Amino acid sequence: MSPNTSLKYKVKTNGAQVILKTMLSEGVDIIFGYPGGTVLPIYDELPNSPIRHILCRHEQGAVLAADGYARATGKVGVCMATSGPGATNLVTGLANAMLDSIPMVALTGQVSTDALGTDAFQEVDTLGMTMPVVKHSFLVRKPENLQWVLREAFNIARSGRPGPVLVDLPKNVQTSMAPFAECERLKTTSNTLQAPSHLDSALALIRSAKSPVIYAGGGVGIAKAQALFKEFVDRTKIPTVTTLKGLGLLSKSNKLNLGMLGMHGLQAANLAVQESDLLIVLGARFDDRVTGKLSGFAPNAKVLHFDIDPAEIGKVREADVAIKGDLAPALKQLNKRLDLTLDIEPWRERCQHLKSEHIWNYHPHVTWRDFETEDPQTQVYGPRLLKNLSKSLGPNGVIACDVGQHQMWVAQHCDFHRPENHLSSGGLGTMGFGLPAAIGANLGRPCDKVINVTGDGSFMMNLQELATLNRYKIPVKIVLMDNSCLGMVRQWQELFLEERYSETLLNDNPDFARVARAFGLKAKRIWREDQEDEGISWLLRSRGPALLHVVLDDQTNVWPFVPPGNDNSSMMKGVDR
Amino acid sequence: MKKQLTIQLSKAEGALVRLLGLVERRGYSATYLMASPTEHDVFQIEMTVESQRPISKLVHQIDKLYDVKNVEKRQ
Repeated sequence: MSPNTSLKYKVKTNGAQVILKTMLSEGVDIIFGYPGGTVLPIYDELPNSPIRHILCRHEQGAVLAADGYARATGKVGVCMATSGPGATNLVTGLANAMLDSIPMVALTGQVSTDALGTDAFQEVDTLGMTMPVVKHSFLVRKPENLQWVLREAFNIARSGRPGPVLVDLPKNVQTSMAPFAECERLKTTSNTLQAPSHLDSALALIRSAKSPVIYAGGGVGIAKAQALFKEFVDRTKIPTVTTLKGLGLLSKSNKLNLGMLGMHGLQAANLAVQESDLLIVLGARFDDRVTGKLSGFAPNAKVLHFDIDPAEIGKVREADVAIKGDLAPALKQLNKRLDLTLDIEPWRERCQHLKSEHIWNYHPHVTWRDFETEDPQTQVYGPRLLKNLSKSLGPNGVIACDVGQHQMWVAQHCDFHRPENHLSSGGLGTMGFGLPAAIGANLGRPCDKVINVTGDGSFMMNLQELATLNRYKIPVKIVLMDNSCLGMVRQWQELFLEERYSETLLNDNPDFARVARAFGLKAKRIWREDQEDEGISWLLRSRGPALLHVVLDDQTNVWPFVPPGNDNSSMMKGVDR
Repeated sequence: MKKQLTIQLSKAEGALVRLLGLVERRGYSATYLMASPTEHDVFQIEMTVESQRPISKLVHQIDKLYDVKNVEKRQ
């Protein structure tokens, strides 16, 4: 894009000030970052700006904290890093934001323009390196382009299907004089609804279905369309399943909510989808962890697909009718025209039957030796602990989880009332996401309780962020589910690789409670069933950051489980159920 | 299967690399490419791509690129 701007520049100031002032005008209140040589001019101006800077202890921590902030608040998350290794350390977080459609602006320092392309100290081709994992990126070679590029970066990040935008800032551009104009932030352009006439076909499909299922994803929350979505479900009374990112759109207590579908989806959800004759897809993208074997996914269903991103329509599964555009006006128009009473009572009863047939057993009889006394005891059971944690946390609490078995247990057993209360790395599956995401979420929503549920593998991936918790006294509560192994990978090895546990056993883990205390956190360890309630209560009562170290049996697996390559009707159910 | 595309692309830094990277990453290979500058800071690009995958999916992805002004399949 050319600098086609209506900005009326009135003053000149140094580039670093233009960067900070522009971000302020875009509504930025927090930047997560880490200083270094090529961002020194910005850091030098930071104390004069009302924008708060949070020093994370690794650039990956900073970018994932910005991601968590964005997920929990719906605002654009901002992070900053220096050139070279600072920029390379952002890559995982950018990919994480890209795959989950998270609005983010990442600023990277770069060597001065005259040194670009000379293999200068801490020079990498940040623009080239990050292209596949950003929605867009800019390298600002001229100071006069700073303001419009930054404004455009924020606009791109939050418009349409959101995503991360990277702005690479050579050091001399930050120190040069640059024009600046006081201005309002750009109005976000949303993809308007295309071809609303297709709503007639959509309604006709819904009317003629005998066993319809609503399959809702992260797009509903991103479109801020939860209320319209609930109205649609309430009025049609169509059984509903959600993706990992759609959790929270309906609470578990809603009769029509059959739960999450997919590889570790609930049986009622998967079976209903398999038996359906119409899938009403709202802001979801037929991810392979959702569909299992694609040709066997909802084999008899027609597809009515709503999405803001036209490239998602027919990308994986062809749609019979597609409504392209912003979900909020689409659902609004659909609800306005819902004059129908669906004749699907037998189907609703069938779904209720599936739901009641597959109620979870939270009391499996498994004992092991007590951690301290060696006596046989009933162990902590992860799903039960998380269910009770969620109940104690209440409707406004936020859970940021990491990746692995505990992540799936959170999805299956915790109850969420808003999608922005469940922060989970869905598309990229980034171990180490949880703690920095919880930091970002808690800074964005200081009045709400924020929990990081993590595993012993994931926790070690961004452990350094405990120092960030301590530095700013951020009251994140950590539930560390420690089964002394990389549980999800171990589960695959157990089931499909004849129990060859190659490099997944972590019985040499450190004493996590002592590690947490060394970083200034309160810490407590539990290992028996009778300690579960007291452990949760201790954690939620604690002031400031605290860690509950939960020792788990390494044999407990995640069920149900659709084996890779199978369709979702072939769910494995484990012995610990 | 070979298909031809006509694309108007802003002459922004990295735009050509971004376009070509996308084509390959999505499972298509460019077998012919001609980029001619126009008067308005725009490249007029003629591209032939080869893939087993339907061309419409690639067109949707190219259309999402910020620097792409227009993309059309040539019959």
